[in-house]
Amino acid sequence: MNRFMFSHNVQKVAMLVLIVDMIALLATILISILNHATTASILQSSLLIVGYVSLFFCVFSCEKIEDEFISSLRARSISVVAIIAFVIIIVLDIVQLLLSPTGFTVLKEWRMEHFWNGNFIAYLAAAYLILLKISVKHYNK
Amino acid sequence: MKNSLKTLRVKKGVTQQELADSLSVSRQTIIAIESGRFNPSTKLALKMSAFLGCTIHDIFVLEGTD
Repeated sequence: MNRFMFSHNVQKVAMLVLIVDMIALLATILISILNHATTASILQSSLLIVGYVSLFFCVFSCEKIEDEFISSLRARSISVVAIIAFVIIIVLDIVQLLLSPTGFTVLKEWRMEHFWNGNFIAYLAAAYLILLKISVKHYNK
Repeated sequence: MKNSLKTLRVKKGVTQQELADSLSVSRQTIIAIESGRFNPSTKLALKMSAFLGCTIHDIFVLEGTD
């Protein structure tokens, strides 16, 4: 697996960038809300791009020691995230089918806004990363 | 599958970290094996038995349900 992944140092740097980036992004969002701004600024878009890139590097980089147990933790985390994603998609599909045409449109719009965009993949990647980190930490005791 | 890794490790006077370092695995792996939550590969089991100076059967024992 190591051949396809970045080194642990890449993860350390990416994690640091991600944390700083998220704090900066939240701060700019808060400022724009206080200023009643309706559109995202170029700064917010740039911070979001940096966030996505650093998240990518975090997800595709090794732990300090990458062995068979860590690989099994990775597999378990991916499985859990895949099941969650599958359930969300199936439940939304079923609910959408049961709704009236108006409700269908409302739900579809909500779904497009929150799930059927790039963010959905980023949420899943973040969930996978958090799960992996929690399980690695859990086995450190 | 039961294992007596912890007993054998303590008997040899080795810490979890030292064992992990000598087997080139993480400490989490040793913790998970000792608590019976992870079964190692044949390669790792062989490395363990070589390090502890015993056979694989001394470390790992099949239970009735296995």
